[in-house]
Amino acid sequence: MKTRSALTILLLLILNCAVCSQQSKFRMGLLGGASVDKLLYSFDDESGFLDASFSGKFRPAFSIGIFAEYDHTKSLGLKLQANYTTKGGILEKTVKYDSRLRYIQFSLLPQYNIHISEIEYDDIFYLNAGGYTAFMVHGVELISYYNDETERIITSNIKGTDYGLMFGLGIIARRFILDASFSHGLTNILADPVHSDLLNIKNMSFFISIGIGGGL
Amino acid sequence: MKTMKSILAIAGLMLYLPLVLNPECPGNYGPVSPLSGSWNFTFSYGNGKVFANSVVQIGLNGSICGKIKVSDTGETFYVTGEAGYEYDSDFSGRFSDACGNLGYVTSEFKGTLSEMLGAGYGSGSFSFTQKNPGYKGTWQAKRN
Repeated sequence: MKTRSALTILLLLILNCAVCSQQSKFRMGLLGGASVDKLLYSFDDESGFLDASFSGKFRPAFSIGIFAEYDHTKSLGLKLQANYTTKGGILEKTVKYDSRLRYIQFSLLPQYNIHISEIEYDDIFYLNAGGYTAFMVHGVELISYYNDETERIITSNIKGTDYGLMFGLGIIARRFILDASFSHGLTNILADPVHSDLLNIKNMSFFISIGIGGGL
Repeated sequence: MKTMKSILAIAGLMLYLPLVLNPECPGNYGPVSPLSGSWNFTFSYGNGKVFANSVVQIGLNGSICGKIKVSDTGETFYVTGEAGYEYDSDFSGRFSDACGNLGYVTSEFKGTLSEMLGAGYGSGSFSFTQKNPGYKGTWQAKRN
């Protein structure tokens, strides 16, 4: 009896997958837009005297990218996105520090699609969440005191790879895309083995993008 | 000729006045230490016990000075040094009785202070065994 039940369930699953594959679909597109980024700082020491968490100010930047999405079912898909983006932030002490870290970022985002049109299959509202891996291309810090400004290349002082989480939502209507997302780094981006226990710096970004794309 | 003189005078004023009236013109300030600001230093003995906690100032010219109070004995000293205009400053300073003093020759307050992405941090060692054989250890610091 148990074997028969198991076989029935297995058969149902296979049938379900066959139906799924009929609904599977690829979607691709281009996205570009603005981001606001800041850095999150935390200090930690054994005595507790240095412990502090603070964040810098947001600084505007831009982002451009492409994505490909595979719909496993009508509602569930998997999106792979590649972006060229600038992260960093502003910190003002006696001197103003404007950090610009340029990354190529790859995100893998399971996506939930809600179809908003019965006529156009590709018109959807979507929610996604997943992870990203970003590879740093270039890092620069602009240090200014009043109008005196100094540029410092910091590529070698920052870790080459950043990992983090990403959450987004958006709408695709008649191939026009409006997308908003949030990313939070999980890696301490400071490449200083001596002080990595004392100081922890993470990336955080909000993106708003527009684009064009749709089903293939 | 008169018109030419007037034009030259006005042009001269147009060049001169912004430089005088605008205090943010470049060139009005010399170099500034990227490490400048108020720092928290925590000094520890070799066994990890706190020797002193102190707020230390680094001036726009990179000069270091701060008053420290030994947690155990309540004695107060100053630590002084020169971080200069570097982003990563390996400095060697001393303990002294006041800011601006040369300090005790046999004392040592040295280490590295760094600035990265606006954050200031550092670590090093200290020794003031002339006052007390036990006054030595390490320190960590962060800019507030």
